[in-house]
This record gives sequence, structure tokens and C-alpha cells, in this order.
Amino acid sequence: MKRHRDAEDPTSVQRGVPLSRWLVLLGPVALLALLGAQAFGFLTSAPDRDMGHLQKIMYVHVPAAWMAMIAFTVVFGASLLYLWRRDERYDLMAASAAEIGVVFTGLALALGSIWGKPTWGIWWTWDPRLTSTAILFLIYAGYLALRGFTDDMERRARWSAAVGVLAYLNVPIVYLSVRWWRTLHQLPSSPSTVDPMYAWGLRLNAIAFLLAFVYFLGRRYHAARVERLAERRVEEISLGGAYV
Amino acid sequence: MSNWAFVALAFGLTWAVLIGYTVSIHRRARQAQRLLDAALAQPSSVALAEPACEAVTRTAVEVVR
Repeated sequence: MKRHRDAEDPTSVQRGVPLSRWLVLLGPVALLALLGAQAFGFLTSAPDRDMGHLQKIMYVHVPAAWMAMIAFTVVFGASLLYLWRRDERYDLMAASAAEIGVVFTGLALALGSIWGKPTWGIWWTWDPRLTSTAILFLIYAGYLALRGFTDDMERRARWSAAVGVLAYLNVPIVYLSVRWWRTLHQLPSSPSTVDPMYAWGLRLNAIAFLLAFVYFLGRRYHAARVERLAERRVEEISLGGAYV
Repeated sequence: MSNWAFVALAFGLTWAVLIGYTVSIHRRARQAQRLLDAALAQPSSVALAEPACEAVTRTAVEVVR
């Protein structure tokens, strides 16, 4: 079995973790993309026949749900890579993506609730899509809580990777829930299933959310690496041993 | 509540979450960097140990001589 390899080698304590220039630029680019895509959505979409202006909530609810799915796919991939390579950087990547996934899942749930009240007449119902998404949120919140249970970096990474792989089983269930159990929630929305008038608004908002997601992931991963370096340095001082 | 109020609530919440999370990541990165800088300012155990090791080696060499 491969040995756990720390994310940072001894020299990187002095070097620090450089922040990519592209990542610094991506923040304002994502911000402008979000503003532009939302303005496009508002200006180009006429009120929907059934929902009226409420249709515009689709431009934030659907991309938020997609970003959550992408984030959990990154957790799954990074967890598998950690189990295979035992490189701590994959563990930090998985943890960063899980946190972002929880934020986007929470946002998608809240936006769905805001959309549900005027269209369904209720804020919440135990519909399979809603319930499986709420379970997904709790599973990954649990994943993040689990990481605080141990200070042993290797054990934390190993446990988290196992949970990161197993938790992903719920993602296809969430996706297919609206096909398996046809209840209140509509079938998945995508540019190919919505009215052509709304397709570009949805596409552009999804791209803008993707830019924001990549920015979040890059910044969160960078913060995680700096935290890890600081932890290692503090460990070294408290143990009074050489940095190895 | 009118439909526009729900739309405004949805978009307002989205921006609040996106901006709030950005601020939280930046704050966390700054805290980690401060912690790292503070830790680096502490004398390294290696640096502390080096003069002691040199002294022991010198003594040992003298004893052998």
C-alpha cells in the first residue's frame, strides 16, 4: 500500500503557496459574467405562459443545482485519486469541492423553495427530488463534519476519501429521481428541454456559474493548502522536532 | 407577495450567498496566511538545535583529541 504523502514538502513552508494570476483575474471575470448573463436573461425572456416572471428563477436555481453536481463529481474523482495515489493534495481538493457543493446545494434548495411557494403553493414538500437533494446536502455536510473528528492527517484523508466515494452514490439518485418517481417536481431543465427563448439565458447563466465555481474551487483549494502549511509548521514547533 | 417579490428574493439570496462565500474564503485564506507568518516568525526547532549540536560535536572532537 502506498504511504500518505503530505501536500507540502519541507521547502514549501518557506516558499508559501503562490496564487495563480489567472485565478486572481477569474474573480472579476466571473462577476461580470454573472451580471451579464442575468441581465441577458431578464432582457430577453418574456413572461412564461404558466409561471409568468417566476420563470426567471430558473436562471439561478438550475445552474446552482448543476454546480452542486459538478462539485460532488470533483469530490468523487479527487477521493478516488487520493485512495490510489495517497497524495494529500487530492484530499484537500475533495474537501474544497465538498464545501462548495454544500453551499450550492443549500442555495439550490432555498431557491427551489422560493420558486415552489408561488407555483406549487407550498415552501416545502417531501417530493422525491426535494427529499433526495436534502439528503445529499446532509451527507456532504456530514462529510465536512467528519473531517473535524481527527487531527491525524492521514486518517482524516483516508476516512474522507471513503465517504467521498460512497456519498456519490446519491448523486445519480437525485438526478434520476424525477424520472423514477413522477411527482411534483418537473423533469430536469436544460437548454434542450426549455423553450428556445429561454435556452440562451440558461446556457449563459450556467457558464457564469461555472466560472464562479472554478474561482471558488481555486481560492478554497489555495486557502486549504496555506492552512495545511500553517498546521505543519505549528506541529513542528509544538513537537520540537525537525521538519521532515 | 407578488411574483416579482419572489424573483427579487431569489436573485437577492443568490448574490448574498455568492458574495458571502467569496468573503468567507478570502477571510479564511488571510487567517491561514497570518497563522503561517506567525508560525514562521517563531524560531525553528532546527535552528535552535543547530548551535547545540555544533557545541556537542566540538566537545566530542576535543575529547577524542
